[in-house]
Amino acid sequence: MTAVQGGCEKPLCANREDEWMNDNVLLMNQMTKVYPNGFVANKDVTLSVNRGEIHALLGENGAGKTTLMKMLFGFEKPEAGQIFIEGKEVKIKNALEAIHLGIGMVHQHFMLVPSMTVTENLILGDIPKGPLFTIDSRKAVETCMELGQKYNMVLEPEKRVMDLSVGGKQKLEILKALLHGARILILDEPTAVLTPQETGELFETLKMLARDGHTIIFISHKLDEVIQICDRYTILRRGRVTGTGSIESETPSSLSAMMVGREIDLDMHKKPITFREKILEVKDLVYVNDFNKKAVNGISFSIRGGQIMGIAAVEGNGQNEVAEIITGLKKATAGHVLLVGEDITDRTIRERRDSGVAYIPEDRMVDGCSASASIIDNLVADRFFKPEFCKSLFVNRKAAEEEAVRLIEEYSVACMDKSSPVGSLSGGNIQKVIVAREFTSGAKLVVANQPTRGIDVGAAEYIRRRLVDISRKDGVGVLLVSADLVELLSVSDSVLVMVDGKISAYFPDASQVDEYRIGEYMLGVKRQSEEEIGGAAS
Amino acid sequence: MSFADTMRKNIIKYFEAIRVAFAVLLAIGMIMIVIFFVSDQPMDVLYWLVIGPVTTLRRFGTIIELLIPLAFCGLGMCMMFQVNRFNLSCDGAFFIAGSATAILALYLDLPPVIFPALIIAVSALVGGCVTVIPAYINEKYKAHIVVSSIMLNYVLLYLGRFLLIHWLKDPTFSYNGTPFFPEHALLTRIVKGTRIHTGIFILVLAVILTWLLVYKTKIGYNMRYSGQNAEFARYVGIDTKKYILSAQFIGGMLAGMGGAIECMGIYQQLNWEVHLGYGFDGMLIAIIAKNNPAVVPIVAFIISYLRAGGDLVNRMTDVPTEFVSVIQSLVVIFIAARALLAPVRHRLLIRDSMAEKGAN
Amino acid sequence: MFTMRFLASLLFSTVRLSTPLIFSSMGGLITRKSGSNNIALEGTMLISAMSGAVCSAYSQSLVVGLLGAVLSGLLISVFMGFMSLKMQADMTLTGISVNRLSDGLTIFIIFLLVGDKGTTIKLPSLTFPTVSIPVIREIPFVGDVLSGHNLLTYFAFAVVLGVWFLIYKTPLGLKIRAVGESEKAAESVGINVIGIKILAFALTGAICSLGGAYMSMGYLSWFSASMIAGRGFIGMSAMNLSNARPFRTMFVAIMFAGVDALSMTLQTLNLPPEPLQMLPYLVTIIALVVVARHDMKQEELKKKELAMAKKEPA
Repeated sequence: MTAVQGGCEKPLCANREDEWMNDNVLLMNQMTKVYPNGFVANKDVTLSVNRGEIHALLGENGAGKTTLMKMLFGFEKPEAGQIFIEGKEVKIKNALEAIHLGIGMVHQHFMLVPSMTVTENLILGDIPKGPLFTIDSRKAVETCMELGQKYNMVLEPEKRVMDLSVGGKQKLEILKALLHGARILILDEPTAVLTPQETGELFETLKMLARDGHTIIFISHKLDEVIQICDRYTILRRGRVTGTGSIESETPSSLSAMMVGREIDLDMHKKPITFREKILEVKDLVYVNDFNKKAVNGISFSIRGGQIMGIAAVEGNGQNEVAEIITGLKKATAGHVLLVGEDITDRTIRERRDSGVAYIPEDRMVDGCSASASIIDNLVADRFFKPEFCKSLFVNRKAAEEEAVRLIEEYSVACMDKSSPVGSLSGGNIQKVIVAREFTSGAKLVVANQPTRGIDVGAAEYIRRRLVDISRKDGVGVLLVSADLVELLSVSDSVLVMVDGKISAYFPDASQVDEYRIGEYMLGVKRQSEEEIGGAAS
Repeated sequence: MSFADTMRKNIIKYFEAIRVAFAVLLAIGMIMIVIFFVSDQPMDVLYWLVIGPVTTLRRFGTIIELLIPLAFCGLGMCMMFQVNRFNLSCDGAFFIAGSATAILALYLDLPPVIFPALIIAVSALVGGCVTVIPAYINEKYKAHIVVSSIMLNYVLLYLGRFLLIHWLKDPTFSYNGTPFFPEHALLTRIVKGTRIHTGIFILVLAVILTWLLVYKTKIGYNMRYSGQNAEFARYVGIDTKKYILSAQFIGGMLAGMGGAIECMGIYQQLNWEVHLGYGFDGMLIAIIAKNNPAVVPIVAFIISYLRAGGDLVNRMTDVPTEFVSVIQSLVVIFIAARALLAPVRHRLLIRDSMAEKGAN
Repeated sequence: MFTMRFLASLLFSTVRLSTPLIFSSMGGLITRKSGSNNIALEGTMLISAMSGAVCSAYSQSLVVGLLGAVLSGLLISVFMGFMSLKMQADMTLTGISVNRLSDGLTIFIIFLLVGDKGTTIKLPSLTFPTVSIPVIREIPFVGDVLSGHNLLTYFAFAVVLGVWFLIYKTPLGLKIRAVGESEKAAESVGINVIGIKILAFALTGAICSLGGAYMSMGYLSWFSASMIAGRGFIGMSAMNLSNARPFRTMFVAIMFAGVDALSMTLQTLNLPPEPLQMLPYLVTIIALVVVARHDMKQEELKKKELAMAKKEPA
């Protein structure tokens, strides 16, 4: 391992004998990016990648990986630094130029037009023209088929993208990049949305592409995957390079030390469970969404005081809907939700909150906070109208501010000025603001939907601990929805798995299962008997 | 910290204000260049626009007279913008409130003070009720609020005209106008030589009350939460629809009050056959005032000054007053343009963060 | 009163009055497909109505008049696109301001030219010719309705076909739709998203300007300050109500024109004009509500059916 301090050192390739492996295809030299809000996303970052290798770009969320790649792809303009492709310095002003230089990117969130077909999405960048200004659709379909066969990723040309599986969409994204002649392929957290099985398939494809002479930049923070597939790595922490070298000499813990500067402790040291009375009961819940699909299809389970129930599911299998129905953001089409024995199915959000439901929503910038409002206003949004903060019709600003200060201190929100807009805080601190508000509302049930997604490791660890605390100490029932299976299994007491709006498995003791087994149920490969699933409701 | 650093910090701090000033100057500058080309007396245009309104008491009075309806519409638009809705029915509310005022003033008889007070109250209600129509169909059916409120303005325009021409009109006049209102239904003129009237006190009261409502009461908090991020407001349990509608209702009431006060204070009869067009000025005022009711009168004064100057230019030179509305529209667009001067701010920020790093 | 002649003249007026609505709705359709919400159709039409009349009067050439109209409409539309997309001004605010700008600017210009703030009736401006269609004009009733319209009226219907072809059959149309539905997808394959969107604004401006030109060089033979009278907004509603589908939009536009025609025809009778003048605007509001309500009910019904159907077999 070589720790690189700012400067551009020649990367180590000692373990590779092949000559072409030393052939440098991409060098990003001392890149610096400052965002309009003053945040320094990248500072003197140097990335050097050789032909035919799979290069891991590692770092926590917010370490600056995505920013670095956006500069490479022309989405962001760097303040300083140079980019060399095959030894030649280039200036990349937009995506088109990046594409012409042979750079292709597979984004974390797929960049596809949902209502258009596979073919239309594929040819969008270079549309074959027929007579009279029309589109040559036959040629378009041919291109699609040929490409699929060439790279062994055949997709139905006329299928609409919204009907494709997640894996299918990702294949289409890779094909899109290859169609435009990408030699350098960037994959931004490609496995985040995939099941373990789909991940295996993806890795085969990537290895094949690398053998073919393509260069792959693999952005991730899943260390075991990186070790499994990558040749070399570059690590970012807080916008700076903290290490680069060959993967072979590294272990997950040595890599993670460079990523976070310390070892991550995922063991929650939970005290044994003391289950109390039933807090939440969900009975035969059905929800039909805007596309007339049954997003939730007859779900029943219950949570007791002091219990953390996790829901594992691939995105879009009804877990969000369950969370939003319980908290009142969505209205159930059929079925019942009971809070401590009382039916709250038809209650308003305010009534639910008054009777003790708290919610950490999935999308913190949309539901969880008001970005343009101050930190104070965000912290007291659910209580400013209560008698302790009001004098008759008027809000007692002083009381509200004192409450805000108390919460900021108790939940160690790092902020300069409590009157500045919440949007100016970092993701982790915004999430702390939300957690501070929700955990102090006197809740009996906390629904936490992706509570640590996209925030820094420190804040994530803090929030996980708080979550365990509130269940163990205060006897609150917790429903946790998380895409991070490691987090889910370490925090939860029991785990539900959802597929297609139904429960496919229930594990009363989360410590008895591992990610791979959960993955099989998430994919729908396996399914428990009705009896086993029924255990969730008892 | 060096002087340059302090300067830079101040510029960053007051950047919004600098940007607004730049937008205003840019718009005026652009139109002035045009006027220099098309007018034979460009210096006169400049004189009458800038100095003209303060040359006589009567002219200065015009500014204040105009300020009153503009500020009411500005307050009205502040309420619409509090809940983030482009409800443009202030024009219609203002106009139809005039009809309501005329009906009450001509067909009712009450003692002084109570009479105008009742007229203002009822006209305000009428204004509120019409404004809530596009607001309601927007909340309930997601109908485009800009389109429906402008369509509503046309409907109200023809409704008002119908009432005026077929009912309220005094047939002895050569124009379409109602008889003059009885003395005790009017707002008293308070400054000799001008038409400034007691409506100004009502305006002061309205500004204070609106400010208190928006920033100090529970209702105002609920409205602002709903406007800043309706999803979030709903999630913390606020009945967003209720507050979004009531804010617009109050906005319409303020515009309606403006209409009644204008009718009783300045015109003393109803002879409006077209919209007076204060709605757009109201929007401009609300935008510059950043939706803060307390700032509205100050901004209204500036806009009113500009309009009074424009009217003088129209009378004294060969340039029509409409150049003022061109300036105003450009001002709105330039202020709204977030990218305007953004590169400058970005560069300042970078230099600032570099300077700080250097100091550490 | 309701004779065949009356009906024929009513339908003739409908076709005539549908011209500006079709142009404005087709213009609005393109920006909407590109993902922008252009509410400045009204102002765009007003400006081109003015410049069409003025240019044709000073050049005594129809072509110059048309060019003037199209160019000015295109410019103001691109200005709006540029300010809202490139300079990041709120699009609704920009649209409202452009409408207001057009109100002021047109009066400003005609006052400087003719010394009148109301109309350009003093200017010897030209109009587009009317076309009498050979065979159709002989057919009773149908001939009375369809033949003898202004050249631009026929062109409006051609534009509907043209817009449909552009949006659904050409590479540019595919790009416009892609940009409108998913900016990021378009950007990721190197499409210049803002470029395409501003191009859509330019197309919209050009098409709307024909509607403006029709008003001052066909419908009337002069420009008057309030002549568009909400037709930009009504056209936009027609487009929104039909979910931006070209042919549906055309039919809805014709229906709105029918209401307008009815109001105009009834005004020739001895009725008070104001309630009739109110009619087109009132109908637009009602249509907005009715259609939205219908859509909502339909959705709810479907949802309920689905919930029931799935429950029964269990």
